[in-house]
Amino acid sequence: MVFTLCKIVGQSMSPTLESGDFVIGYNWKRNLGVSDLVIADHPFYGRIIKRVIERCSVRGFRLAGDHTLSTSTDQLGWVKPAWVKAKVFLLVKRTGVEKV
Amino acid sequence: MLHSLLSKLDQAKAFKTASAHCDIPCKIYDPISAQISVLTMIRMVDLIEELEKKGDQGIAAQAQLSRLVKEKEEHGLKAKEEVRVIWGDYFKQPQLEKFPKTHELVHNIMLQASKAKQNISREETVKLLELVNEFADIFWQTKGVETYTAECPYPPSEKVVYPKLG
Repeated sequence: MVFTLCKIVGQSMSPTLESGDFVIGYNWKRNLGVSDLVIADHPFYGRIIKRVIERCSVRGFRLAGDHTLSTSTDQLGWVKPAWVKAKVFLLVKRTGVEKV
Repeated sequence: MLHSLLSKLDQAKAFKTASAHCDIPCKIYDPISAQISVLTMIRMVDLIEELEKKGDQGIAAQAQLSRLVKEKEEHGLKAKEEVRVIWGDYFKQPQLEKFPKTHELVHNIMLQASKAKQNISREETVKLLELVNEFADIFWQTKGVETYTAECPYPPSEKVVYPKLG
């Protein structure tokens, strides 16, 4: 599969994304950088959507939610590149479609 | 329009979900539940000792003893759980840096709660209350709330740390 389509559950990416919105990402993980929205399979939290806030060539990525009530970056820990499934490029919201 | 279409497709065959995980969070934390649980334990110890002094070993007294021990046990577990939740969910790096002994204090509370559960000992249970009061004091300090110590206005009339609110 080239693309990943996911439905959002939860409020941690609010106001960018609300629960019930959809996102489409491409499974192309090169050139991931700070501020990119990513879908990752976290070994503890399952499939999550977060924003990249730090990148390290050795340890991977540090992720965060857009909402202050998000599970914290420290709780998520360093996210290995292999856990990242897709980079989001399209938000399908109730209010319309937005390119990232 | 695309959202409506995807929603309908999702109803027909659910898409995978990506969790925008927020760990609820309710942000309602208050050590008073733990403090009241320990006060209840002390009260149960007092009532068990009263029962012993009466020397009554009839069925009714045995049933009463069972009830008191059960309540003491349950409130011991509750006190531990309440402290664990505040420590695990509320305390983060900034609070722990400011109060570096919190981990050790919480561990001591866990150990002392087990002692208080294992014994019918007022002394051990009051020690537990002192530790939980210390934890409550730290908790309120992290929120910038002053505390004061006062005797609770009901049995077992022990010293409790309260927040100065309003």
